[in-house]
Order: sequence, then structure tokens, then C-alpha cells
Amino acid sequence: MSLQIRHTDKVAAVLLVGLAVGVFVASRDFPSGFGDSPGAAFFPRLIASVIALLAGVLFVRSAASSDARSYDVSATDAGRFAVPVGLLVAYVALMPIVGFVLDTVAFLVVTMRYSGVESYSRSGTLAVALSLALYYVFGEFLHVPFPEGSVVSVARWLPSLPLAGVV
Amino acid sequence: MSLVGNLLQGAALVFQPFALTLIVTGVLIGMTMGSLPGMTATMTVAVLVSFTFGMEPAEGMMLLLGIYGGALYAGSIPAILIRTPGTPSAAATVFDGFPLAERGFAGRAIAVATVASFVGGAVSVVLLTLLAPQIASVAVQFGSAEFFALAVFGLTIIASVSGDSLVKGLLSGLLGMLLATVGLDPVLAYPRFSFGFEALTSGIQFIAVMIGLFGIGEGLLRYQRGIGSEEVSQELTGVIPDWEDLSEIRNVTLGSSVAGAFIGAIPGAGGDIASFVTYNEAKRWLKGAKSSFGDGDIRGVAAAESGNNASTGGALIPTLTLGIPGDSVTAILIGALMVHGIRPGPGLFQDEPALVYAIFVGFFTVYVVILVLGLVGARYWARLIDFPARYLWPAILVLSLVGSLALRGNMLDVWVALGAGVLGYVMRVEDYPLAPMVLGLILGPIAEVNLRRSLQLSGGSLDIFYSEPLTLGILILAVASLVFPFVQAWRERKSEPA
Amino acid sequence: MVGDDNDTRTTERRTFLKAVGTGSAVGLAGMPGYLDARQDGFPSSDIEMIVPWAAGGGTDRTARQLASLAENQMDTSFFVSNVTGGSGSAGFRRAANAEADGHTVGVLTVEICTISHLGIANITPDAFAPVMQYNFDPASLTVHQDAPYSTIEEFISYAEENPGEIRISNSGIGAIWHLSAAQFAQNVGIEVEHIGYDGGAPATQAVVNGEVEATTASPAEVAPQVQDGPLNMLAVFGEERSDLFPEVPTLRERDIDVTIGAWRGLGVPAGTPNQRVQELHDAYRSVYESDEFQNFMNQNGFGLVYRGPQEYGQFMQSELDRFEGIVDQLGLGRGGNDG
Repeated sequence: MSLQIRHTDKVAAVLLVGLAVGVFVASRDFPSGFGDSPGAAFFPRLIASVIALLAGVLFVRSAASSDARSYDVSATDAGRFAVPVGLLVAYVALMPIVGFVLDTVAFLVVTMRYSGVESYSRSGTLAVALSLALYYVFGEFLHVPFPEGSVVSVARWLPSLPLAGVV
Repeated sequence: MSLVGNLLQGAALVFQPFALTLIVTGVLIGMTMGSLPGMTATMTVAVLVSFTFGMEPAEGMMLLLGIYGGALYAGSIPAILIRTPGTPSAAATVFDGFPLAERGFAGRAIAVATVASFVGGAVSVVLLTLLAPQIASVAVQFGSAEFFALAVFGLTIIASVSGDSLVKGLLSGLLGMLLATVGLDPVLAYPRFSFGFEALTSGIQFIAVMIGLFGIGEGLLRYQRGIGSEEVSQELTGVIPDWEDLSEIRNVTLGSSVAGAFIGAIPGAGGDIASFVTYNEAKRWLKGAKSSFGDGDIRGVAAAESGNNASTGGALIPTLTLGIPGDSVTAILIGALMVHGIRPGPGLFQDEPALVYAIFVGFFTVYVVILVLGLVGARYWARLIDFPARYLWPAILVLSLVGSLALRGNMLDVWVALGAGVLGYVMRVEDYPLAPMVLGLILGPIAEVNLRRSLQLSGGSLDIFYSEPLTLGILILAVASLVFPFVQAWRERKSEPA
Repeated sequence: MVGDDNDTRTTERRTFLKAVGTGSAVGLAGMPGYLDARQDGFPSSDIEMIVPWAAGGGTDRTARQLASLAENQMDTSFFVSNVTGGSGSAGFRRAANAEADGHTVGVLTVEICTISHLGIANITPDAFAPVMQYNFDPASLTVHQDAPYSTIEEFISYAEENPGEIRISNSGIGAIWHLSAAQFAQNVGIEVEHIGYDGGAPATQAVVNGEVEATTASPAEVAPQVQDGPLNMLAVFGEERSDLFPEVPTLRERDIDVTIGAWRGLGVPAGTPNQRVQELHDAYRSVYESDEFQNFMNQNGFGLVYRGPQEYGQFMQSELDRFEGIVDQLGLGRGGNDG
């Protein structure tokens, strides 16, 4: 199965014009400035107008040229984009539920498998080592508030760094 | 204080066990990542910047500058050995480096690249040290109108550095400017485009966008294209340069170093543009170069490598003196300093002289470390090229997201990075250059706030922009640099036979 | 832009190691006086102090000083986390939403009383049980020495004769120094233009360059340009004269009833048991009174003002009311403004 995506420049142009219109809509309630100076909406609208203008140029140019960009997107190609993105989205979305450590171990094992690491013992070891290293460096050392799992929390059983007394 | 006094003050911060360790660590990381095809200096700095949040600003800079210099240098190793530049900046190194390797002179080529990178970097840091304080002392007098003009000038340069896709380069820059308008209005303190998200009132976190564009975006692109590793067959011998080679490359290296530094100082023009220009100029001016360049001339390697490393010191000139980034890496350095509440610009030289001079001294030290590690360890670095990417990319993706979270502990920033990653991927596939977006993100707000402040100061009258010759001059320059590429493109089209 | 943390930084070493690692010796040294206070098992873990501003700024530096000294007072470790964004609201909210058990202390700055009016975030001092105020830095009015006025009275009469001609720079629109200038102008009835800059340094530089006529900032912030530069300080907006500039009068001395400036204090989530608030207060108060803390504050130009839990609560309430009026009058935040 394969899908052909054509006229990407035209699609982009339409999307950009849509963005510009969105800026105008979203900024309609912005306050005006003091005296004669431009208000809060002035600059975003200026940018949006130029974006719309250039999008028009993009569209016309693409329509005028014969060799419009087109891609043949096979199911494999689509998967090669969708799988990593899907894994990343799942990783971020699950973090508040299963907690940073467990989530990171799982993401690394699955992503390494997807990347071609055959041995689970190897990827598992690396995943656990990296997750714990990051947990301690960022969570304990730099006090980054990593999400703790609302369902399962591994972090609760991890020992604190034995730093006190060292310094 | 005198230059020497300031340098000593900076050196006192650099020559500390921890800071020196960070420099060596940074160079090692940079050289490792630079040796791996596809791992750019920008990506490495973006992914690792979060480690510096807990350090002193000067210490954090040592790590990041080490990565910066190390990665730009080491990009030459795979360029020479497997014809694949480790970073885009090493693309011009391929032309003569790879033919040399094919003829069995890989070690010689790497030795020349190492020395040229060192000279390029060192010369550019010296120029930076001499010029930046002078520029800052002039720029500190600048008012709002001058800063508006400068920001506009920086934005119009986007057009000149966008290469083939002028319209797309401008669009990329404008999208960056638009993204930067999210958050509190700088004049009326009104939350714009925050859509009820409190975290958005302080704006889109610039570093999160950078991490997304350069870290996650690059990762997605690699997964799309397949993350196989390449094999290196050649054993390296003799990576110590001989005197004959050194005297042969002396002039071209020095010349390319100075030229590279000045090109690097142009906002948005990084090592890739610098090395192409110095390579082409060397080819034009050197004796016999027209026929020998491209066939394995060590002078070609020297021109490209001194050019790209010289761009680093040059890029720091506008970054530190005006707060206008010279390239994508220095844009992240601005972000890293802002995390510490430090805003680069002319005031930096008055408020933080120790930090500024520590950057000068530290960056010079970085290049000394590169010279030593490069000559001693090149043969080991060469083996890294085979390092299986299948282990590395998952780790880089995790580091990217953790780094965004570390910014201020907000999950929203992680989603922003992820979104920017997808955007960066789409832009790369569709040939939108990323550097203009970075410039837009930083220069957009500078342009807006100074424009509106100027108009407030002048009571709404536009004459504040043309009554001062300096402001007017910069604005005319800006218009010229915007129009010039269009004119050039039009003339080229006209001269081409139909 | 609002409430930029603009105090001049020094390059004093501020390691994160310290915040994590000290406190160790405390247990060994033993603080017998506190054994009784720990009857209820407090503190049972490390105490986190949430700073809503970036590392290296004035709030961060004072908080880190408090944290490292408080470890000598309580049998636990203190650490500082910077939760920045939303003009302080992100950090305030993180602190307010923490468990109300005394193990999370929010560093409350004047913005807690302004951001709700500015429409940035609906968080107010009500979300906190006040612990202690430890700092107050008055605003001050500074002009160029070549200006046609050299006293506050001359400045006011000049502004009256030339309405709208005086432009006053500040470190950011909606930030405390902007609101200070606005209250001053409102009180004496002069018409001025407020120009927002990106931080205190460029706002001061704007007066030096002649881009604006005056600036409002803390005395410490403009001190270098007043002592060695071309600037002249006309008045401080505090109860008392500034130690840095004993020759500069206060507005009150000139019969102008304005006292305004930036302050910093500590609060815990509302609902924290009184007993624990009191224990925290006692520990921080001992720190406040220590020579080491007083010296630190003086050397870095931070004004020392103490208020206990009740007083501090009342003070924040009155600040909340006061800023509502100023913000409304300026037409900032939620609504539009046409003049």
C-alpha cells in the first residue's frame, strides 16, 4: 500500500495562511497601546501578514512550476515516522502515570528494540543504567521535579543519594 | 580595568580543577558526537545544556564551549574517512579530505585538519578578545531605536543565509518570531496567545524549542532514513603532522582563520557557510589550487577546517556584545545564560566582566585541548564512527525530553519540545532552513520591544528612526541585505539561457 | 517581563552541592533546644524552598543564604529549587499546592500581591500561611545630574510645568518599580510616561544615555551609576533613608505619603499546622538575627526588614489592596487602555 502526497508546497501555503488568519482571530481582544504607540496585537499581526504574503508567493510559485514536489509514501515510510513519534508521545503521556524511572526504562527498551538492538538483556541493562543515572543527576542532584507515578512509583523505593556527610 | 587584568580575572575562573575538567569533558563529548555522522554541534549542545543549569554560569559555559569546538573539529574525521561529514560544517572538508584518504593519506589529512582547526579556533578567539570589548563599549550607548535597527538587520540577514530557498528561509524566520510573541506582552504586560495556560504567560521556552528542533527533529529524520552504521576500513597511521605539510598550509590557514571569524560573526552564518566560503576563496586565490583542489590537496582541508572552527569565535562576537546570536549553537548559549538570569548584550561587559573574560580564556583553552586530544587520539576517534547508532538515538531522545523538563520542571515544556521536534522534522523534509527560525525566536522580541519603546519615547513619531545617522544607516543596510538576494536571484535567472 | 529579578549579581560561588550536601554535620552537632520541638516528628525529611525566580538573582541568593544557615537551626537539610515562569506564578503555585506539612516553603516576593491584578495568574497571598518577611528594598527616583532639577521638589514642579514630558524607565511593565513610579506620580499628581525595559541595567542605562529623564529602582541597583557615574538620586520611597545614600531624603520627609518597594518573605501552603509554622518561623528568625545573615544582606545591598507571621500576613493583605488600585489606574493586564 502506498500513498502519494503531492503539492506539499501548496498544502504548506494553505496551512500558513490559516495560521495567519488564526493569529488575527486570536489577537482581536488584545489591548491597544498607550497613546499613539502600537498595541499588543500590532506585532503578531504584522508577522502574520508577511507570513500570509510569502505563503501566497509559495503557492503561486509552486503552481507555476511543473515539477511540483510529490512523495510516494509507502506504509513502511509512514511507519518509520509514526512509530518514533508514537513512542515519544506515549513516553511523555505515560510519565505522570507510571513515573519517570519506569517510563524511561520501558521507552528505552522498546525504542532500542525498534532501532535494532536484538538482545533484551543488553538493552535492559543500558536502559536501567541510563534511567537511574538521569534520575539521580536531575531528580536528586538538580532537584528537577520528575513526575512520580500516580499508579506505581519506583522512585519511592530508590535510596536517596548518600551525599549528606560527603561535602 | 586593563585587558590583561580582565583576562587574569577570567583565567582565575577557568584554571580551577572543576572548570578544567568541564572543558576536557566537553571537548571529549563534542569530539565523540562530532565523529558520529548526523550528530551536530547544535544538537549536542541543545541536548546537554540542561546539565549546566545547576552549575555556575562560567562553569556551564566551559562545558558547552568544549562541546561546540570539539564537535566542529571532529566533524572532519568522518568527512575524511567515510566521505560523510560528521557535522554540516565539515561538508567542505570532504572535497579534499576523502581523496586524500583514498590515496592512503587519511592520517595526514586528519593531522592537517586538527592543526587547522586549532589555528582557526585560536585566531578567532584572539579576534573575539580584541574586538568584542570595543564593540560592547560602543553598543552600550545604543538606545532603543538603534537596537530596533540592529534586530531588523539581523532578521534581514536571514534572507542572505537562506541559500536556495529564500522564501522558505524567510517563512522559517517569521514562524520563529511569531512563536516568540507567545506570553506576556512586553509593553502592556498582557498575556498573548497563552490560551489559559499559566505556564505560557512567560512564553514558549526557547531552549525547549531548540532541543526539539535540533535534537528530536534530527532523531526523527534519522529514524525515517534508517539508522544503520557505517564501516571504516582504514587503519590510521601518522596523525602527527610533518613540517613540510605545516609550512605548506601556513598561509591558507591563517587567511581562512581570519575570514572564517568574520563570516562567523554574521548572525545566522555558522561554520557550514564559513567553511564553504573559505574553501572557495582559497581555491580562487591559491597557486595551482584550481586544478589540485578536490583531488586531495591538504590546503583544501586546511582552508575548510580553519574556516569552520574560526566561525565559532566569530559567532560569539555579536552574541556577547549585542545579544544577537552568530549561529545556532551560540543561540543556545544565550538561552543557557538566560536560565541563570544573565542576558547577553553590551551590559554584560560591565556587569559580568569575569564571566565574559572566562569565556575568552576558556574557549582558547578548549582549542589547546582539541589540538592535544586530536593529535594524540584521532586514531581512537576514528573507531567511533562505527559506534552503533541504535543505542545512541533512543538515549538522545530521552535526554532531549529530560532536558526540556529540567528547564523549570513543567511538563508543558516537554510537549513543546516534542511539538518542535515534529515541526523540525517536517521543515527539514520540506527544505525549510532551521537557522532563521532560531534567529527569529531571539531577534523577534528584541525588534518588537525596541520598536514599541521607541515609538513610546517619541510619542508615536517615526522620526526617531531616521533622525540619528547610526539608526538610519543600520536600517538602510538592513533593507539592502533584504533586497540584495532577490536582485541576485533575478539577475541569475535572467542571465541563464532559457 | 514583570518582576524581573534584577539585583546585581556577584560571582560568588553557588554550588548545588552545597544545597544538597550540607546539613550533615548538623545532626552530629546536635541542637538540644530543638529536640522538644520535634515531638510531632517535624521535620521528618528535607525541607524544600521554592524560589520563583532564576538562579543567581537576588531572591535566589537570599533564599540560598537562608537555606544554608537554617540547617544549623533545624535537624534536617534544606534545599532550594528554582521554579520559574509566569512572573513568579509558577513557583508560587508549586509551593501553594505542595503538601501542607511544613516541608515545602515558598519564597514569596512582592509579585504575589500584583500578578492576580495584572491578570497573569489568579494566585494571591491567601494560598499561603505567612511565615516571615526578611527583606524590603525601597524604590528610589534617580535622574541625570545635568537635568534642570536637583531636588525632588524641583522635579515635581518641572513635571507639573511640562506635563507628559518626563519619561520614567523601569525594569519591566507591571514590575514593582513600574508600580512604584506610578504610585508616586499618582500621589503627587504629575503626568509622566512609563517606559518598560528588559531588566534594571538597561533601565538605568537609559537615563545615562538620555533616552529617558528618570528611573525607579532599588538604591543598590543604581548605586554604581550614582556613586561613580552621571546619575543623581532625588529620593528614596522607604520609611527610612537608605544606608547606601544617607544624604538622600525619603519622600515622607518631604511630606509625600508614599512608601513602596520590593520585599521578600517566606510562606507555607495554607492549612499547614500552626505549630509547624511557628517552628519554621523560629528557625528562620534565628537565621535572620545571626551576624552571618545580616552581614550577607548588608554586603549585597539587600534591605533588612522583619515581620512575624501575623504581621506579615496583614502586610501582604494591605499590599494586595494597594496594588489593585495602582494596576487599575494604569489600565494594565486584563483590559485595554487608550491613553
